[in-house]
Amino acid sequence: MPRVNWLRRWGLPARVLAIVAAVMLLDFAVNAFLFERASTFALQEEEAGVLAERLTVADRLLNEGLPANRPALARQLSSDKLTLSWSPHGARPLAAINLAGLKAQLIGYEPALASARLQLHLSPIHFNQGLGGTLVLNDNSVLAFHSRSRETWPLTAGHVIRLLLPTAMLMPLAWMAVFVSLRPLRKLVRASRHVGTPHARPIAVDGPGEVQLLIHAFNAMQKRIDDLLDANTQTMLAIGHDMRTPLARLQLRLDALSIEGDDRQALHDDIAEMRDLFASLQSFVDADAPEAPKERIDLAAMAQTLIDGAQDRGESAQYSGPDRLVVMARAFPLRRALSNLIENALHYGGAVHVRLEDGARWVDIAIEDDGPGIPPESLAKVLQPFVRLDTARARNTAGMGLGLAIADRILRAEGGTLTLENRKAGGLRALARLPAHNLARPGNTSLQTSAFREKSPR
Amino acid sequence: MTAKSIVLVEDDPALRLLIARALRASGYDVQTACSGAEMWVLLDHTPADLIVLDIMLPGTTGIDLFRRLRREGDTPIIFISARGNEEDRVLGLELGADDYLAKPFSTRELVARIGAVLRRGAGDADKSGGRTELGFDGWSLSIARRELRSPEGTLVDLTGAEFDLLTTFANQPQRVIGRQRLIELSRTRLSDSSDRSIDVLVSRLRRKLANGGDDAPIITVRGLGYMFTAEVSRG
Repeated sequence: MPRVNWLRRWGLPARVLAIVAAVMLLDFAVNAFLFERASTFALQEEEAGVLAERLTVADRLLNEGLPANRPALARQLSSDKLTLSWSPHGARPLAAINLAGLKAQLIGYEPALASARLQLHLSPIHFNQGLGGTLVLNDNSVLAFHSRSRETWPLTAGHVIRLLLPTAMLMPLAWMAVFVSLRPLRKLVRASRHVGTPHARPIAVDGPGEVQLLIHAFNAMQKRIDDLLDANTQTMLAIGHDMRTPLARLQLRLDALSIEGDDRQALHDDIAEMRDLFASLQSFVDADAPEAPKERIDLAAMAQTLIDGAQDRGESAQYSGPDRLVVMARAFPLRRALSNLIENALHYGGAVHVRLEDGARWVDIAIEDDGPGIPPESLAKVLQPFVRLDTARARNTAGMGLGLAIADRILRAEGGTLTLENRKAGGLRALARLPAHNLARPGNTSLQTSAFREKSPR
Repeated sequence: MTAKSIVLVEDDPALRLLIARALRASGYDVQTACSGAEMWVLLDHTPADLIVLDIMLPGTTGIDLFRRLRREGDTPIIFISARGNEEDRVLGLELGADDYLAKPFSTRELVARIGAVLRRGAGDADKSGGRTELGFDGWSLSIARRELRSPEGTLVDLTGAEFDLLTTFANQPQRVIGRQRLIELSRTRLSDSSDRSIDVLVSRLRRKLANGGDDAPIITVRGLGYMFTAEVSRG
């Protein structure tokens, strides 16, 4: 589309200028319309005739009278409807609006008014509505008049509108135009929030020239950050699995050696710990780039299964919540996240209580323990990778301080959040929050057979 | 009894040597290959009783090798992987591997797994059981993935013991299974193998299988045991 391309080349100054020009043009058009209306404006026949006649009389009498008597004479000639005043060198107000039609009407009644150089103007807004005007006497002194005609109000109203129109209407219009021009800039702001996350995408180059340059620079920056993160991930992956082969060799060599007793066990334990470190490192990397599509998962069954598993191992674990709660998520990572949180609670708290709650927008999974909790100043820190609180939370089973960081990453990748807080009753509460899945509501599942729906209790 | 022959496919020379040595010490006849191509040459000459395959081989990936091996025969395969994640394990088992080992592993572990797979391959008619899908009342049970899905397609987690119990039930529908038999079958899974723990397992299973207003298809036969009442289809 060549027209759009041509528009896109416009820089920001050109656009602002075009907007100002458009506003001015519109203002001009509105004014022109108003002037046109004013110039054809006419009073009613009778009213115009009376006004013309009285003005002619006043003109004649004041011309004949002595200058000293003129102010008094003008007052005498005034009435409720027509105020007259005389001044020796009165300034004539400039006609802001051309009332040509009205002038022609008045002169038509009394041609003498033409020679008195009749000039008409609308009264200032704060006056009583009406028509004003001036006549020039023979000695160049000025007779001003003001007529309180009811009929001039549409003109006065038009006058007010003309004054207010630019602010009332053209400003929003200009604002809209600027708003549209700056839309790519706002897109840039939104995109910048996703830099370094899996949601980061290059932004389409659009908008004024300056903004296009900015978007180019932004996309380049985003790519550099992605590359850095990629390199970081590759390094961790390399550690995570390339080290497993040498470790496997070490294990087999150890098995072939004739070491006895405690030494052998200690070496086995060391290798096992290294294996766990690599495993948690790999989980951490995997958590950020979920590959599988989301699927329907019974979160209640998942939580209960983890709790039942812990109970079967002889741990003190409890579950409270519904028997069934469907969410859309990826099963492996989510199970790992919940498992990490439960194991963490068991390790530091000795007992765990998992509460599952269904909300309109969120599903909340609270994992609570009775342990020492976490010092408030460290609550945010423990979600960072490789952070381990050395005093209270001595040695993590995962060994690297990655357990909570992995859970946090996984939940964010699933569109949820993880927050930690100390319970008032003591112990830690980890609150995992996932987006609610509306398909789980009864009646919405098209897969259900009608027979099933009839039997469904709700 | 002649020694069982094992083909080991591993690209890391030192590890290949170490594994081969350990297996020979355990009485197996081991031949080694460093790539898929070498493996095919070996298999052409002598058929193997079992293949140990490293999934991260150069050239053809382990997965591709795997598919071809499965197409051309049913030699038991144990695959070893440098990626220890759950997804890999499931992928391997789903492709039809008989077992999965993550590096690092001990000699004892490897020998035990090989022994178990060879024993299973020897007499068990249920050898292809690793690839079965069972269906009942709209539910589907994937033995390979160890997954249970509800009629709406929702993934419903089970503990290992619950899964084994459900598999036992689904393999013998409409038949009363005694408590004692169930305890024996799940002995490996449960630390406390008593009547009570079987009852706990059954009640957990019932809770997970209850769908809407439908009760789980497991009924208690007083004094005898349990019976799985649903019709089971195999896919």
